[in-house]
Amino acid sequence: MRAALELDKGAFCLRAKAEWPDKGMTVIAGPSGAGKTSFLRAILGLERATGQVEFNGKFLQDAEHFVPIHQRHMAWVSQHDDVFTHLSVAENLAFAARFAAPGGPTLADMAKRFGLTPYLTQNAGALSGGQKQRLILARALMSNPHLLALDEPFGALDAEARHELLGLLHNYCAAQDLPVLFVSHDFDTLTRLADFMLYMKDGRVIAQAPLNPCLLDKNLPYRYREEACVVMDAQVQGYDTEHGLNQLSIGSASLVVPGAALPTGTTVRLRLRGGDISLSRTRHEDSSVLNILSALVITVEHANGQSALAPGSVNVTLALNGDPVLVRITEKSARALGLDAGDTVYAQIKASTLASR
Amino acid sequence: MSADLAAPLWLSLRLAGTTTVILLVLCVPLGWVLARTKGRWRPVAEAFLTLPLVLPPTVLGFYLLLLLGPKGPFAPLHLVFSFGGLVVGSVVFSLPFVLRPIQSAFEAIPDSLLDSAASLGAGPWQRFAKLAVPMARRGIISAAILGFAHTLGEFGVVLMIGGNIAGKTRVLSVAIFDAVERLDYTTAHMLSFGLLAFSFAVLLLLSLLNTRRAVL
Repeated sequence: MRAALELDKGAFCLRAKAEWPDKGMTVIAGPSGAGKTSFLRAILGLERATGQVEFNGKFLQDAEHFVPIHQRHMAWVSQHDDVFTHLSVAENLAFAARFAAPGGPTLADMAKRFGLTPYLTQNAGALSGGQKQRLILARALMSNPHLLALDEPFGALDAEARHELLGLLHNYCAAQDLPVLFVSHDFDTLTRLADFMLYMKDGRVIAQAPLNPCLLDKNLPYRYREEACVVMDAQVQGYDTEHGLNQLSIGSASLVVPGAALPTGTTVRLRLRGGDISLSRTRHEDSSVLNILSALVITVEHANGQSALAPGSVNVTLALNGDPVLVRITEKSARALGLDAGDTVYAQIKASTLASR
Repeated sequence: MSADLAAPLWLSLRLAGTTTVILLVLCVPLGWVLARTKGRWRPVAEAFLTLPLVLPPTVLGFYLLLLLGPKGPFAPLHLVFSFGGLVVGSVVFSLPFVLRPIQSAFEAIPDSLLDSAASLGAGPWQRFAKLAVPMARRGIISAAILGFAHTLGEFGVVLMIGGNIAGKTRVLSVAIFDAVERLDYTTAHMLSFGLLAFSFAVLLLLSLLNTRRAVL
């Protein structure tokens, strides 16, 4: 998908140009006021910007054409509780189904999937905040869209409810091969969901890349945050019932994660936080840390007052099974270990902090 | 009830009913357009359409008389001193009372909700007919009641355009004026109290409508 759009809104000016995959989850990220929502709305045609939008090889908008939003098949979920309060839950879903291309989900199936079956005859305005969010998402999917667009999805919900709904969203869209474009400045949400990132600043897209390169990009804030991390896809190999541990593999490396059993054979996303990985020169067999993997040091970045890295901290980038992983250690430890690019070290990864979606 | 009382009452109800229907047909689309456009002409249109609220009815009546009268552009329609003329006058006079509540009801519908509906595939007509009108129904009902009651009570415009022809243009308020002039206080009392009680009932209904949201 490609978009090159310009929009003048008085003090704010959108000059955004980006290209991203037609599949998977793409996040529009950036500081508040960067123009994330305006860019998303302009891509959908909700704001009349000048420029081009290309999707699935077709121009939705260029110098001569402008396909209006109701003909774009791009379902939009705003930040607000946009339920149709004069209709029941079932009627809300049926409203979207009227416009759906054939082959869309059935109302009963969608209601069941989002736990709305008991409320179908209830007035939509009487639902709780969490139920409304479920209804809006289910309604958007009922329209059988070609793209799902979300603005700060489920930001009003508490973390637990949000995680559950993000999981439902991800599973459905992955199964249906439905691309998702969403705006989020929430680090937790974007690392859970995103495969690709468009990073915006002052109305422009200043970085566009898969998620991990963005999380490690020295021009973006993520690698300097306290919760700096990378994500990795891992295969579930089995479950150790005695210890309550999931056995996972990332390429040739294996890891264990405690928790409820994950379905064997599935792929889960792990978040490896830089602060939860420690390094040593030798393998510590007597450690409480279960995951000890051998890795190669690629770069060592010291705090120098120029970067946003906190004084006394060091960002070490490792190659773990070929993929870069960020490790945050102290300057003191880095000196004690004498770390340099090209060294081989042991990374001790606290399994309990690995998060699956 | 004597024909003296029944004829003006019936005429007033017919006038108010006709006016209300016409105003709803006019103001629902007009209110929607005004609520949804952010153009520069909007304040001008709003100010113009609110004029009947502040102008003395005699001013309105005078201009309408000039427009509809024998030398005016609408002379061939023969509207002066007829029921049709009363309807035209009442529609102009009561317009802001119907337009305002409808426009506010449409303005209360969030943009994001209509944008969401559009993104699901609902075109402009479906957004208006299937969402906006049903969601604004309370405002539309209030507007209809207000327009009906306001038309019942009008006097100046009616007198200027319709005059005082028994059975044809002598509505309730004119009949009251007439009775007082004749010093027929009994008839004046009956008509006045009837109008007062009716108006109170209408306003009570409106207020109940606005407080008991669950009813509708």
